[in-house]
Amino acid sequence: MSAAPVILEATGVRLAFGGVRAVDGVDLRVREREIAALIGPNGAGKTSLFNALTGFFYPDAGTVRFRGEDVTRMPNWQRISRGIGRTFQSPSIFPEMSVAQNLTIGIQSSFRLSLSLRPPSAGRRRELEARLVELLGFVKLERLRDRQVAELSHGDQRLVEIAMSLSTSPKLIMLDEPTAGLAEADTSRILSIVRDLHDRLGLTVLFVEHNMRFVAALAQTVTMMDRGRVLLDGPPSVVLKDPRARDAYLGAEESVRA
Amino acid sequence: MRLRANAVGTSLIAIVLLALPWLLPAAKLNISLGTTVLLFALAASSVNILLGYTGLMAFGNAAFFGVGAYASALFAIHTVPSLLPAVAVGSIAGMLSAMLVGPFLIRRRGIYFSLLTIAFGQVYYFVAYRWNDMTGGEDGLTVQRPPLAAAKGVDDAQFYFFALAIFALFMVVLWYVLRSPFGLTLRAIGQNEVRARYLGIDTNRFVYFALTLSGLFAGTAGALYSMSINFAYPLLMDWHQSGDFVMMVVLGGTGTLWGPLVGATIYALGANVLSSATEAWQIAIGALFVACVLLFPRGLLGLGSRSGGAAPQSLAMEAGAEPVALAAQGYEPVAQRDLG
Repeated sequence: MSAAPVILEATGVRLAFGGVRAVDGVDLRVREREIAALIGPNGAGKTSLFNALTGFFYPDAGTVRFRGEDVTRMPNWQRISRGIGRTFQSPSIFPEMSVAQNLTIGIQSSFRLSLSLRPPSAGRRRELEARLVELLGFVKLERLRDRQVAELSHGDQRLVEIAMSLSTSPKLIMLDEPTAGLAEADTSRILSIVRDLHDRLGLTVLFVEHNMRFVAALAQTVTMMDRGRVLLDGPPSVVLKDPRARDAYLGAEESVRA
Repeated sequence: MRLRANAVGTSLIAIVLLALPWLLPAAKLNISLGTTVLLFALAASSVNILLGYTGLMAFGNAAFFGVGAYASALFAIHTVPSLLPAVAVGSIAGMLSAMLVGPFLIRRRGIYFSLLTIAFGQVYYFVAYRWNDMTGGEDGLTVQRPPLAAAKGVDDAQFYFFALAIFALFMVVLWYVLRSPFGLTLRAIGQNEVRARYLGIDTNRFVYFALTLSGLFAGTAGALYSMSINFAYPLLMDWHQSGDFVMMVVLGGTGTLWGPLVGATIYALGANVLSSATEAWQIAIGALFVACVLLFPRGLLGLGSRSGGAAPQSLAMEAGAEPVALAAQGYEPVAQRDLG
């Protein structure tokens, strides 16, 4: 087993909506510089778990620790400065702004400039610009720099959102279905970017995904959820072949068809 | 291209505003109509800061406007009768009145924010209405327009230019602020607050500062208004007045620098010109308002913008959008989920 320290640890996390227990006592550990996948049929509670981990909702019970610190009830915006970045199932962007502006808002935030009422000094502007160029280069969107984000393709919007999540220099990046709704070509672009997040930037990656080829290609550990609980976890070679994983997916599909 | 179009538009507006004291009499209109347009535009801009840029439907700005009006009138009556200090006192009072209610508003979004702004606005209104000794109650306060310098009075044309100078100053300030990192962040919050929070931005704090700025603008407009009409009265703070300011912004164009001026012009012309022709002038304005919301939710000035039909977040009341936006505050998550 890997000896790297645990960066994100959830213990007994519960989150209910009315009577529905979306997350029903989940333990999860993600180690530093690991690529971890979270899989499971629709409605298994994957996104709800993401929401509880990132403070979109506070969990009803359980604790969330990030780099040793208890962040269970820390406001979501504060967790970002602690080193968490996140994307959403449908890209969460500033639609009426250019790609450059979308990224600048996060860069300003990480430079602690957001409250400034004056345009940044020349020196600061150079630093902001350098970081912007770096982020655009990472997702290879230099040519779209001045385009309005609402006009971009779905795949490009996903890349903008990943770059935005990187703009605050996170240690852990959480991607919620990064390839949902994407064609094959876009999926392979995302795949190589996610690999770069780990290999080139040294980040820890936790992602939710339905595309099993994507999971198999990237994940070092896989956690499978079903009905709000963790069903299986371990290396992908084990989890993806486990008959219980297949049953959970098939069961979900049958109940959808029925 | 776009920058040049903006520069041309701004120059045209400046020329018209400077020539207005000669244009209005030529059209058999009083110069004070021009002053009213400027001050309504300034008050509508205070709404625009919240509605147009930060995405918050504010229905209580008349309260800040009225506090500014009373504060400058009281200052002119009871202390030094001098125009500039009286307006400054009104500006600051308007800002403080917003800062006072801010803590109660900043955690709310959408319809809850709107309802609370109405409620607090009405609280200010009733205080003005009931506090006879201070505000003159229902009768209001009559105030003689104080001189600008020495003992010379300020006539209506001079006052127009005084109001124009302050209006121009505030528009420059707004333009400058909107270009700053703070302004870009406000616009980001207006477009997608959840994302802003997930970029490490304490959005409640920004909403508070937006309210403060809005109060400053509204207070200044109100201070100038009572100096303009020599009168401050409770109905200035009523929620109908707040609604009128919102209507001006929507008519002219939310999230545009000059939209409030365009909207205030239409509104003031309607109130002054149409009203002498027909008592039903408000129907005409109402119809125009409905047409704006339905056909061009960006307002008249928004017609040419690239993002054409997209309504600001708070106008496009998408089903289900509300709980998400609120829940993102991490505020009362349990109650919130019950709604979802």
